[in-house]
Amino acid sequence: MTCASIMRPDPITVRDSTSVGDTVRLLCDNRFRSVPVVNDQGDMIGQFGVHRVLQLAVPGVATVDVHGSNREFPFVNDSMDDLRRRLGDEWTQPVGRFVQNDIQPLKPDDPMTRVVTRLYKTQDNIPVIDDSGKLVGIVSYWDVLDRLFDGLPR
Amino acid sequence: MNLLSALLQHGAPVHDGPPHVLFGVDPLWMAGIIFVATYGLIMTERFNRAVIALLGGGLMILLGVHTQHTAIAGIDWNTIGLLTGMMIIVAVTRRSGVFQYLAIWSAKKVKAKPWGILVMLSIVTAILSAMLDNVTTVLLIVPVTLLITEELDIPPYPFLFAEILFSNIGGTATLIGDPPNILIGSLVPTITFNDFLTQVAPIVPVVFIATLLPIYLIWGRKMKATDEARERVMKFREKEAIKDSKLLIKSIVVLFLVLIGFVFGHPAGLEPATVAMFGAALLLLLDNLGRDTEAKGENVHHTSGEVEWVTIFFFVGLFVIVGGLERAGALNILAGQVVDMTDGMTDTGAISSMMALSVMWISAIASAIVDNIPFVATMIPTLQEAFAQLAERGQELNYDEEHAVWWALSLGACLGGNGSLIGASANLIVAGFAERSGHQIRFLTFLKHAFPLMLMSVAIATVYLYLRFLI
Repeated sequence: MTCASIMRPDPITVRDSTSVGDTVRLLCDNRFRSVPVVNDQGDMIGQFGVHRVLQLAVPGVATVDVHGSNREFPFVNDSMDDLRRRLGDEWTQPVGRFVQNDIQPLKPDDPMTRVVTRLYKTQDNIPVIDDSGKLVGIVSYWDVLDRLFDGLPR
Repeated sequence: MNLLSALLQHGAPVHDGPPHVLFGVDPLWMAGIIFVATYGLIMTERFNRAVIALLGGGLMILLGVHTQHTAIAGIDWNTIGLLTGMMIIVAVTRRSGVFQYLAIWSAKKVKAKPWGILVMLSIVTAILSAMLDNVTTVLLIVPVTLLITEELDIPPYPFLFAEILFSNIGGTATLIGDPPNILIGSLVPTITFNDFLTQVAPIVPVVFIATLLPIYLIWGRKMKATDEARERVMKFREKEAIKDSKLLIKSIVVLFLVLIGFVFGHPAGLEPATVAMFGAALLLLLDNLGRDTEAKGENVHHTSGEVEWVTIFFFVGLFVIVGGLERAGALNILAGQVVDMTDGMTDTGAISSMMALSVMWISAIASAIVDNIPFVATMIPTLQEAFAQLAERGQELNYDEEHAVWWALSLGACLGGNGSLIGASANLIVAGFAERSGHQIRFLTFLKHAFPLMLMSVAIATVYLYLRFLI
């Protein structure tokens, strides 16, 4: 079994010019963990997911790590309004500014062990691209769990 | 005798006689080439400076300038012990959250007004830098600063700029505050912790205020934050920053004892390294009380990992390289040139003045351009040799005259580090952190603001040195 047999083809994507707000709505409505972001030519430029949304809601410096500096700020007494305000500041910005672009996509012929190992490490959906770099599918750990579940006693 | 020939002799004892360099090359040339190549590579910053220093030190041995024995003998273990001990103490203490507490407490004391916060954080930075190393200080203060400026919705640059400057200015005040001072305090036997406190520290508050004034005129007077933004900072609960109150008490007690040890230890024959390492071991012991054996091992292992070993190995490599230069006779020649500059002078006071003022300004300019640690590591034995040569020709400088030159080196090298973004390690750390947080500090912008302020601070230090020690 390979990645191609388990991936969801033709995944939902968003354009990089889509606003952060519309993208967050898409994530929430579909309970997606993340969504691939593509440019005008349809090439994938990265992913935007709930992890990034949370990052936009907390103080920016809390997500920066330089030389093991302390990133925990237990003394910050934020209300839900404070968190909303930070996220709201970026709400109308294009999502392309905030994509995670260091993801390593899978290939359709990648073996299942690689797929599962990568899911375990990234803890996120993983896009699948073909040899020409075109986005052809996406793998989530629900896809893997469903298949595993199918073969085990109910 | 080089390592290869020593190996050929099947482990025969390695003697410490004059160098026998491979291929019959003059040891002076060999040591000089290794020195220039090593320092050149360090300046490019394309490779890790510790790796280059260790390679340079290794070449000094492999090519026969040093034996392993003389190389190790050239390492100043007082410096290494002091650095390591203080790094361990800071690694344990920072876990208590006390430094974040201080920063937040000081910001709230001024009702979260931007200029007040800048002044308070500058004071905290200067005081912490005098007690800890500058890199550690800025790593503790900069994240809180970025958080505060983000909450106030104001640009962080003036704050980061001030913290860079005041970490270097504050570090100038004590023997343990800045690597050049650690080197001077460790390598010059007559200089003690108290000497720094009584002879260098008094000028630091003056430099502090003089530096703060232009920062106010350029940025401070225009700083504004909305009441709503200030309220967000006032909502910070600084007590929540204290993660481990027992550890806080233990850390404060040990830090206090260590400072007492620095102040009163010297007359009892206690060198700073002994005090720092003993304090580190004591704090590790206290920190591990009540833990099970496995947790103790893990905790000590984790703390040891927080020691900046790269810096320690950098110092080790530098000591071997400078020791190689000394052994090959290069520093004698350099010192001779320093002494030649005083030809025609008969009064040792005039010689001291000329040396001190030259050393201060050369150190300041050099430290703004290159890393001040290798510069000072080379200057110390060179000046010691120069003093010896002056004594040989009957112009021995007295205690005060010699010390004036050492203070010139300290003030020039420490304050000079403020001249550019690459002048000191703390500057680069702040710039790196700012960039990762989306607030790039540009080299030329920093230079434009910092270099004139650096010149002003060195000018103030020059007047102080002249009035206090040279007339």
